[in-house]
Amino acid sequence: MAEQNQPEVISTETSAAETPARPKKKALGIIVRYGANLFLPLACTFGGYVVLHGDSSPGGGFQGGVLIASAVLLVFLGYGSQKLSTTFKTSFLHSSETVAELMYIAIGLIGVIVGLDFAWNFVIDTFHIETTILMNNAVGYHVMAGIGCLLIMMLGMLSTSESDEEEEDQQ
Amino acid sequence: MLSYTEPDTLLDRTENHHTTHYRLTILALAVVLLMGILCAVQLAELPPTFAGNVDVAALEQDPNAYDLSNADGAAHVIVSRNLAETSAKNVCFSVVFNFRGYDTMGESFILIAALSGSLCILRRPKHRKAEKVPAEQEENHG
Amino acid sequence: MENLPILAIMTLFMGAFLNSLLGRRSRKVGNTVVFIAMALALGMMLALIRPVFFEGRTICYWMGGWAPDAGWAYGIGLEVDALSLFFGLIVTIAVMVSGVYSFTYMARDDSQVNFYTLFLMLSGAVLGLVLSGDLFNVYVMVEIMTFSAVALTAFRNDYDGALEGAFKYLVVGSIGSTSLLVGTILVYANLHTLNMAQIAQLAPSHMNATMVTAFAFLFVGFATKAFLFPFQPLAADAHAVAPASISLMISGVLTKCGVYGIIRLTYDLFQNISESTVSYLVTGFGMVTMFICVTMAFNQHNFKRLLAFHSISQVGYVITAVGLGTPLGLSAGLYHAINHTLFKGLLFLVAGAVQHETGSLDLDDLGGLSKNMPRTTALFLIGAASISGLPPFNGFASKWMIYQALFEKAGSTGNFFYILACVVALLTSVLTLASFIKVTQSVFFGQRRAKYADVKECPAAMRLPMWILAIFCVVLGLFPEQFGNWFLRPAAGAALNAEAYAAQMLGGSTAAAGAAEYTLIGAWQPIVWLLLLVLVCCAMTIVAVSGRRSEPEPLAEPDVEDEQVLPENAKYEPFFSGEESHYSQVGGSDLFWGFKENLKKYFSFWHDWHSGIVNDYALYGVLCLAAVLCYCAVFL
Repeated sequence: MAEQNQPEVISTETSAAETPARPKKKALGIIVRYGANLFLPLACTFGGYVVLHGDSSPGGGFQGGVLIASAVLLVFLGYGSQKLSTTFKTSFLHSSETVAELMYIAIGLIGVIVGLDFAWNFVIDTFHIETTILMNNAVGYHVMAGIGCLLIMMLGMLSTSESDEEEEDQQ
Repeated sequence: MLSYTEPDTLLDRTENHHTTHYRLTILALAVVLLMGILCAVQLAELPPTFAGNVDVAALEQDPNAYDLSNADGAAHVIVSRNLAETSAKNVCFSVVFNFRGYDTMGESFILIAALSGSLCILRRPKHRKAEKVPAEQEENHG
Repeated sequence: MENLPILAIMTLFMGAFLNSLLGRRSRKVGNTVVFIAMALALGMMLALIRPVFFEGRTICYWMGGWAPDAGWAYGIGLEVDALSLFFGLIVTIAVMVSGVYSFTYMARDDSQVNFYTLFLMLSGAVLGLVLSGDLFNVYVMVEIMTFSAVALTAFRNDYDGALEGAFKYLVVGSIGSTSLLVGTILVYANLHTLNMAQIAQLAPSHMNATMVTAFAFLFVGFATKAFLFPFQPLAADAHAVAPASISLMISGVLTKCGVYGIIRLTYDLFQNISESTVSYLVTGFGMVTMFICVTMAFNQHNFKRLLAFHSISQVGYVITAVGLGTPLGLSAGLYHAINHTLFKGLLFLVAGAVQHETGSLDLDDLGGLSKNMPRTTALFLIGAASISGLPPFNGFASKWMIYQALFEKAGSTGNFFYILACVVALLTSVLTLASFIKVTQSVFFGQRRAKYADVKECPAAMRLPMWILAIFCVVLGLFPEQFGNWFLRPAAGAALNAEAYAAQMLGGSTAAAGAAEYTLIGAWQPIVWLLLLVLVCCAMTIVAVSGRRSEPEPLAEPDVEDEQVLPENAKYEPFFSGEESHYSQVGGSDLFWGFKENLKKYFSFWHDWHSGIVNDYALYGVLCLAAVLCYCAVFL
């Protein structure tokens, strides 16, 4: 019953007040889009560099992860929220964040299984592998997926909040 | 007839009945600030946990040249053991992931908790099937 | 053996993540994962009982193998002594019961996968807190705990006021967390170490103004988590909207973390509980909390809000007993802590069952549900008897110990403050009993409205965890001596013996911490009281069944929607007219009308003080912080 009422109310709404309440349908300008295209791979590469070189230069997992997650923001700025929701899948990002956490715990538990203490720091010099470096990479992956998912959620809230208000007014 | 009512929603009360207690707020914050200043004054006289004025660029070339004589406490032990036992040159990285990796794990758990929590709170409220929600009772049994 | 604490914590967290991954499609798989994780954690804690409680070992575990070097403890350590394991047992039992209850209670909700993820993260964080031996690690666990609890409070975001309640919890909880962080920073700046055992070694000899400030900040931080005096309104608001199993967690587990923090802070880290000024501070907070919360409970119309105020009042009991500084006081506080988790959990789960079946928590609306839900009524009566302190339930045993501790302290010091504490404790107990008579009458007895005629008994799967809690209530009340000897004496002894705490962690000495020495006054036999209770119940049943009275006519229809149809004072006519054949339902909130009317000024002041506005709550928090800072600066 509510659906039948809706079209009438929408028409009165648009005739009464103009479209400032509705989200903008046309894409943002071409400059912003090309800027996003340009900076996206740069952000990802630089973020990856910061994550992987955490042990010898400032940075590390948290900082680099946020840099890579800025890719989500760039897509939103350049292409709008419609493209954002088709490019990234929230559920996959959430799952991959959880997998990264499990990896972190598993790395820590290696020490327990071997018989030493939790998060024992084993060093394999030839491959430059160390517990801390593995943990660092896991945290980078985790933060990347997590902040990306959070950004998608919050940006999705921004653009759907107006259509939500319309629905609530009509109910 | 005397009856006590439940507080209204946050918005109603804030708009209609709320008076901001400016004086009490300023008094409380002033006390906390004062204690903070006293602490800062006293802490300046204590030995520092770690010396702060170093030449970072030179240190990156030759990490072993760091002067440890000023430091005290747990930080001292960490810095002096770091280069010998770990393959990380960045001590902050080493402290965060190696010596105190358990806390870093806790911090990343906070991120997951925040994310799951946001997913819960920001979802569209759905009335649960076949259970009467308190607000709707009057309509159902009208 | 050494790995069990960290494995228990990690099992809970891994259960959270595996549930998040596997539980999206099928809830059965997710629930199985959750159940296995909770069961494993509980099993590991139970396996630690023998070495820690009976043999007196303390498990010291250094993360990453970074044991102390050159006299400094620079790694994170887990120290599981008897006090930690005591709280660990409280946590894991409560988690298990709450989880099993949630399987049925939350079955109709959407997004359950996030609920169980957050629930297990809350559990893991709390377990990690009580088993930890490092101050900053405690802070990190408090943070995880706060965020999970906030998100879970707002889980049913279609309830009226759910998001607001969670927001208030978030704001004031963050004030507490910040206070904890500032305290930790000040401690580290002074002592250059974060390990609790080493702080226990160094702090008493390094006290200066900054350390006193650190003590004040840490105390206020933990007081926020335990919902003591100025922080209790947010607990009432949060409990009213949270799902019942989360109410169990918040009231039974999170408040105990605040209590654990205060115990560690005053007994082990700073070791200043024996100073009278600190004792006044802690006991004073406890007294004020106790009294104000139980009187606020008289005003409430919402079942869970009322239970929330009682919950905080009982935590006030625990803090009062803990603040005494004597072995008997600490043991009594610990006993009441575990009993509070049990009986309060039972009461909240019953409230959840009532809500699940009827959809309402309004005391004026409900009534007469004992005809529909007899088994739930029985469980509620057990819980109500426990909290009111009726023998032979556990509430009586622990309150009896608390009174003895207060008498002992008041007698040995002759100080008026402790005499006042005795009086307030006894008065609170009476008021608790009065309040629960009111609640029982409002919800379960009395006349039932027509719309609740079809309410069915709650599912057996929800009754099972409630029965587990009820059985624990009865058992702990029947055997206080054995419980005290096995669990309370080692736990209190571990807390009181701060030198052993430090030495075992740092020096690796294996000398046991020793058990607390205290003697109880008087002797009472719980079994005799149980028999008396059974006799009284039989007698009441016989009288109720055999006495034939005609059903009295109600004076006015109780389910009339608008109040104007009733005559003005229809409710009170039976009191004046003396007619036996007519009665009218006195709404639950009007049962103590005379009491409330006489003390109108007091009640309306506190009613307005609990304003529901988050700005006021934040102000109360900062005022409390300022007051404690001044007090500590002047007296310590």
